[in-house]
Amino acid sequence: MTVLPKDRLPLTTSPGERAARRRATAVVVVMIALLALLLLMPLIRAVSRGFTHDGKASVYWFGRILTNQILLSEMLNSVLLACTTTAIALLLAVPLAMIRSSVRFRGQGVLSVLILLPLILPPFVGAMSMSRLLAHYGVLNQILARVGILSNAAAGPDWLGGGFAGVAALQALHLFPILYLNASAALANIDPAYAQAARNLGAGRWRTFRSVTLPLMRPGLFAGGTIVFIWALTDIGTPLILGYERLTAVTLFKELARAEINPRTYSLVFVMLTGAVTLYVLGKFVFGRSVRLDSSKATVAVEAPRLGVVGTAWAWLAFGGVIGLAILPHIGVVLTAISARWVNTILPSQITFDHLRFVLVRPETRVCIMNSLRYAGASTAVDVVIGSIIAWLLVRTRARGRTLLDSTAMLPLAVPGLILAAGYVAITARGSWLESIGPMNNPFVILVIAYSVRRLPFIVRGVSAGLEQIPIALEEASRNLGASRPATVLRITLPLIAASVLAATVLTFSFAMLEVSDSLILAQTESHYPITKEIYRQATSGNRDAASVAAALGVYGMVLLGGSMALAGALLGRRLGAIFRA
Amino acid sequence: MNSMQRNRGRSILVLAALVIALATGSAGCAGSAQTPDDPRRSGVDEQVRRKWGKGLADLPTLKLLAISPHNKNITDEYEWAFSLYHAVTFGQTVDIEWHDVGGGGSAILSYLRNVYAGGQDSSGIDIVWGGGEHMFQRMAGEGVLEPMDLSPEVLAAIPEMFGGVTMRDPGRLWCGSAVSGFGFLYNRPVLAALGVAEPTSWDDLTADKMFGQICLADPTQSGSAAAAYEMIVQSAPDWPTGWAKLLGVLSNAWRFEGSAGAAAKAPALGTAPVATCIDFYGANVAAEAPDMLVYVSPKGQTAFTPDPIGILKGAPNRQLAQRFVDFVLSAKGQALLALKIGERDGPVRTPLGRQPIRRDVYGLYAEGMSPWVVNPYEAGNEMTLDIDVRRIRYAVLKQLVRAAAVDNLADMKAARRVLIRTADPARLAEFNRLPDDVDTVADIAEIARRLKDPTEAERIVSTWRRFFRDKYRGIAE
Repeated sequence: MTVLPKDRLPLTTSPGERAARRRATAVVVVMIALLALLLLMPLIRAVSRGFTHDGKASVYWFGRILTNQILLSEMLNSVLLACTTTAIALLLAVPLAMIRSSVRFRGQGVLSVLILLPLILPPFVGAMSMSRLLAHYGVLNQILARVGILSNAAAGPDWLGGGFAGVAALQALHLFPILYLNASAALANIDPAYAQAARNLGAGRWRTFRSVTLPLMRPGLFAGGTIVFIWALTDIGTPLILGYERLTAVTLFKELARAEINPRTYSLVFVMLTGAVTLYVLGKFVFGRSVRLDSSKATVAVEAPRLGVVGTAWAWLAFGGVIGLAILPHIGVVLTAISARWVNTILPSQITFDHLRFVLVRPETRVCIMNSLRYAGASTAVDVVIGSIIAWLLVRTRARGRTLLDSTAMLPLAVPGLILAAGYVAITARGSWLESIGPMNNPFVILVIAYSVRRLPFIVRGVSAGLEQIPIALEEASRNLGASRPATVLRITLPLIAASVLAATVLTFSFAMLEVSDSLILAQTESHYPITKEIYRQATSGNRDAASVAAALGVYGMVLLGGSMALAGALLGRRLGAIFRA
Repeated sequence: MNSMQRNRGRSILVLAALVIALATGSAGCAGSAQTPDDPRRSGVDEQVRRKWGKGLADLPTLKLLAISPHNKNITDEYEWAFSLYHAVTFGQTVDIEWHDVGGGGSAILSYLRNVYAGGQDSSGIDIVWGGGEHMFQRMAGEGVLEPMDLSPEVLAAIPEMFGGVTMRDPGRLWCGSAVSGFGFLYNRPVLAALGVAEPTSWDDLTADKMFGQICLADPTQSGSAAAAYEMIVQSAPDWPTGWAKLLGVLSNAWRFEGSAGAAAKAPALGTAPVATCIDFYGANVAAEAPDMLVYVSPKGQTAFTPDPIGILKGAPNRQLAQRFVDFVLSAKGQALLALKIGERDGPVRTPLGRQPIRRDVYGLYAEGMSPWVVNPYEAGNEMTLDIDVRRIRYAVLKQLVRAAAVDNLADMKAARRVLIRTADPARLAEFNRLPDDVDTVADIAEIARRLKDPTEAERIVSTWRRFFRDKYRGIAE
């Protein structure tokens, strides 16, 4: 095994290979053109005001940003936050993924599904529930007062004032499953023979992990790490819940929500995007190097040891502790859905199932759930196809323009949702050639495009990581033995990267189901609302039972997503967690 | 089953799932709003038969497109009532397609700007309804609204100004359709535990004991909050004293929320015991636990703001849009806002609990109104403001509050904490000191003019933000 600083594919000069490279370059050009049309065009339309001053093209606004101390300190703060969140998420995810892959214990399947729950917190009601839990006069302080740690709830701290550390901790608890999924997929792709050889040669557990397992996991960790990093860099939800506003993304969000948007804001969007892509490219250079693998992942079969009662208890404690903390807001959503009165008490003081029943029988609920499934299902399918092609171009070819394609495909992670949605409104306005797919008509196409573009990085990174871990020799052998390229992909490549594709697909589908910005702006009429917009409409209706009805919708959303994840596992043969075992 | 077969099986399942997802995705979306058993229908059907010679169900249906942040209770009640009114009067029923772009006035304005950005002469939408008077003034200024016909009866019943706030556009580009008061909501047991007296006026919110306990709204995002802040300033004898009073409230903030609706949740969730909010939000939240949550409309200190309606430039159904406006502003349409279920001209499914903007409606329908509907025109409910000063200061005050408090929250709180601890008059004077360019009303007029230019606005607000940050840090040191 050798770690290569550059590309792991040998330089080729034969005419056939040159032709293959040209073909691959042509596909890269097509992909870049596609992204230019669906991502860059609306983006440029939305931020173009940041590039003009006094009616002329200008970098005036960039100058204003670069000389503004407050904005610069917010940028630095954002990068520090993203680094901290990613580090905490790694510390949570990697040990759990290692336990998951190296031992077997009772209840492992249940935990494998439960650990994904933090990802499926419904918007608006999830934030409300988190606020209630951590509020100065909220549930946590009331519990502390009840057990005698505080003299009364009002004497407790305002946990929502947790600042930088609080934001990093909550972000990590929310996002660590992304890294867990990627780490699990990466571990599933590692041939146990390497670790066995290291142990046989006298290396201890830690040294084996550090020198063998960790480098082999690197593509998967890089894939998850970049997503968590850029997510944390551009996240607004958690900082807004905690009122921590010294961050570029929060400043942008607040500026964009105002009626009068200063052109400087659009320049700041550009600066943030450039910064995110630069950090990604730097990260790829430093952490994203590929490893040369000379054998398949399944040269030896190793039966993981089964834990005894004590070991199982420890494993449950490790998983249960993290999951328990991370799903407290979900429990809050369920309790809100069944509360008739919940003021100044630890639990609702009056319970009712009316909200759950009301939401269940409303035809609007069925419509919005079906819409969400359609939008998320179709966009995930588009992402899997486009994302896999891009990943293949990035990993398996030496086509020109790959770095540009790679960076452009990662860009959507950093683009503020409001900006992209505004761009889609502009390019589909009445009279434009894209009017027919605009939100004034049936917004299905534009929503699927919006969802697909925003979640594309999940598939690109996930599939790239899978491909990087599979030796190209296996595909070459298949082709040498006469198999066609499609047959090779279907019978060799796809089965070998199934875990990575599945992990990325689960993430893509979940986040598409929970998409907010595009849904709020582009799904305008009730018959086209996805569930997130319906939750928003209910939560902000101003009605007496607004929070509970919105939470009831959130409960059905969580059940639906949790069910989808379990179904994904069942569809592919065994329980979800087991998929990540080779 | 060996591993290879299993792998192949997985691949086929993955592909099958993709195909199914695409197939279901392209199947289209469906759904329609449900109409309840409307007791008015049978009576209307008879009238329609007499006048138009056929039943309601046989009448042709027109379509009206509206963009609105209003909730479904309001949109449903108005759609049903207007359709029946239109059937009787014009022999056609009406379906209204309600568009919601995920937010209040700011979101609608941003959306319309994007839609009209390429020089389009129509947005494809007829009516814009709801979102605050300030947003409608902007829309009018940006040329996206068309003048409406307002009958003398409507003009007589709706004042052009009320409490210093514009209720309808003099050029008839928009007109208020309802009014909202702005007060505060508090959590009684929490205030008792903190030893804080229950507030009844804006002055009470400046008390030291209120430090960190109030959830406020950002005036650059909430027109109601902006109106309330102006009123606090005007309740003092002069501008510097008024600013000091307002800063007393602002520096007691726990946080600034993006909308008055979002702030209203704080006392029930326990995040802050006091929150400023719009009256009907406050009343609805308080209804969950009336013994614990109390909404107060400070007597004589309440800012009332209109909820306007307008017709959009290039409305595809111009005539129908005008008829809808006529209906909403008619006495009957106004009564729908405030009446209880079952009352003549009242709602069918849900009481809307909003305050009509027409003065005469409060007399015409006095008996059937929901108990929490307050007549804003009743003596003592409004506060008389200096309209000229307000007009000049409106934009300036919002940006000043943003720079001094919203964007400098942490530093402002740190400084206020020191003031409470030290009670140092010199520090207090420094805390209340205004930037040089806005310390007189004359300066404010000049700044208001300059703020209209984006380059100047960015410079001015950035300078203010630095000014306040440095000042607060100096006090806290």
